[in-house]
Amino acid sequence: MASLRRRMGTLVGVGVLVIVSASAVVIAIERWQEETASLVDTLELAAFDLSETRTPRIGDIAVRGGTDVLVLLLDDRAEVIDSSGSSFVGLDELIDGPWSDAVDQDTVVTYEFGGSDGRSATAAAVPCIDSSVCDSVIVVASAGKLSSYLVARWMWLTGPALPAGLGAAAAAVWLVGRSLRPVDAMRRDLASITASDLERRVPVPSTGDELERLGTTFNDTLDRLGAAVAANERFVADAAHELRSPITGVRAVLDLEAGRSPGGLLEDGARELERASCLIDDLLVLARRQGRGRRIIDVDLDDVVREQVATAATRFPEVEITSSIVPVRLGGDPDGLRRVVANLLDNACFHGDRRVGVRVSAVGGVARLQVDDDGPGIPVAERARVFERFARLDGSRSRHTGGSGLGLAIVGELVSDHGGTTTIGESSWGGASAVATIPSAAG
Amino acid sequence: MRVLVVEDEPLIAQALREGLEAEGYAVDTSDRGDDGLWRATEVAYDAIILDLMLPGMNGFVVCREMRSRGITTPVMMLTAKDGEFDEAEGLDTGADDYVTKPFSLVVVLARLRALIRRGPTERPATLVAGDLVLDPAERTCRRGDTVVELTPREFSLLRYLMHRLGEPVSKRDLIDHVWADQEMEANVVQVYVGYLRRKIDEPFGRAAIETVRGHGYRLAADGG
Repeated sequence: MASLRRRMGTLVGVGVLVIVSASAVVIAIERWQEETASLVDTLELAAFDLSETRTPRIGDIAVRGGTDVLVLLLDDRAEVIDSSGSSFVGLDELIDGPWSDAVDQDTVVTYEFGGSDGRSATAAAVPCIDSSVCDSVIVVASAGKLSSYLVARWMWLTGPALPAGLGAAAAAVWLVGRSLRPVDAMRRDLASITASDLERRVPVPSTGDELERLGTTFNDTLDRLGAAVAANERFVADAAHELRSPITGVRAVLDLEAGRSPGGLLEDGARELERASCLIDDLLVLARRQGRGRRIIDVDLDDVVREQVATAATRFPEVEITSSIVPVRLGGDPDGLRRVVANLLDNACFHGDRRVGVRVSAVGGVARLQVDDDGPGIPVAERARVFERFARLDGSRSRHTGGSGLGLAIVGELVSDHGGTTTIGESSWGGASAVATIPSAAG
Repeated sequence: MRVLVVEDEPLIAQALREGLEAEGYAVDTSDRGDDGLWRATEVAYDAIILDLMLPGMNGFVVCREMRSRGITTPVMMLTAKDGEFDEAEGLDTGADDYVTKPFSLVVVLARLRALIRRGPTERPATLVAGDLVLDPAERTCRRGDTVVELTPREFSLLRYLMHRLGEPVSKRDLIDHVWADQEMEANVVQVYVGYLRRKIDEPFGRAAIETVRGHGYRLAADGG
């Protein structure tokens, strides 16, 4: 966006300067011609005036500024009787000019010549009234160089155009920025719209132009995308819900039968059923992750962890869970965070051998939850993959050790919903160490 | 012991009936909410097992209606844990316990026994300190007309302090009664008291929670 504005600004600024410069050159040349023409008139008049006097005076010969003026009185042999000065460039050439012939004819002669240094001069010659004093008067004016005249004129005309050009460039930058502002607003909004808030729409400028149509198209696309995501979530939620009723029924029946004749296949069946219902729960969590159930309130992470540690301790009495917990409060979804902690703890207790360590800390506005175990750990190459849905490491493929395959995926997604990240490393006991960091609002 | 099971899934209703009968309960079943409510009004049951999603009338409404008609029979709610309904909401309507589906029959039976043993429960009384009001049944806290949102731990901390209104309460007591965690460090209490003060005192320019130097805290009887 910024570079587009810069380009437009440069384009307009340079354009204005080029147009003004070209006009300045044309104007300067015209002025040059006009001034030269008027110079001839001026010199003629001056020469006429001087022809009546005896002394060559420059007097009030009004010629343009910066022009050297020379007055010469010649005798009938074209020798200089008197002059107003001798420093005139090209004087010799001038005197050798065709003056005498012209003066003989008693006419006014104008003569322009280019000096060797590139200067040109204009001269007017008239016969003297009193021929005893002089034969003719010549008034010469150097005209200066056209090139230096042009440079001076151009500067004079273009100088004021420079701020004008800059002004135009700034105006172009501002104007382009202004007309692109809706695009920028749409881009910003679009960038912040994620799968979790597809209800949001970009602001559509009511300009009736391409920008409005662009905004409308964006929003139509978001509508379709939102509808597709919602339909998908609804399907998973409905499916899970519908599955739950028969599972509850079958489970109750199995419990009933197990009560009558304990042990054996019934227990295996109950365990498999338990797995299926866990899977359904997990699917529901994922499906509803972005759904209506989500609320953002103050959550005491330390409390959630305390509660889940107590739950895990009763579920896995053979595992010794040690914890180091400091109070950490963050803004989040309490159900989601409870799920994060529960899944990490279950995972650690499941894969751990005898020990699980839990640590809650806060550093610089970031809450940190670390769950260590003393199990076999996770190979470096597999560490990123464990957060994928249904990812299972080769070692845990058997149904007795594998969970639903969604546990860590759920952790990863819930933590990222809270603006945090989850990583797997190696614990000091050589097992796995899961670390979730979440920005905490209250600190 | 007579129990009413309001459940529209035949298989679940059947299994519950058989499980309960095996334990010696007399069981009535109903597959509609409105029908269940009518039965609960007509017969004095010892406990009611109530599904949430029911045709006719949902479990929340049934429970609220029963309570408003003065029926104090213990109610165990069967909920689907899918985030659609809040636990707190279920308890607000007057249910005494809830079990999430799919449940274990053993667990349902054990909790039902406990429920019947406790008998009809009184709703806990509202706690008052000046204009500071805590309603444990509805889990709400008010300062004057303003509702104050508390996290679960803040709520139980304030509840305990209000329970011992005007008395100095030691940090050790708070750890024992509010956290029940022997290994917890005392400074955690300090942090939570800070949270509470920021919610119930500071915004109102009040000081209900007084520090008792070297000991603990005291909640002023007049609410600060």
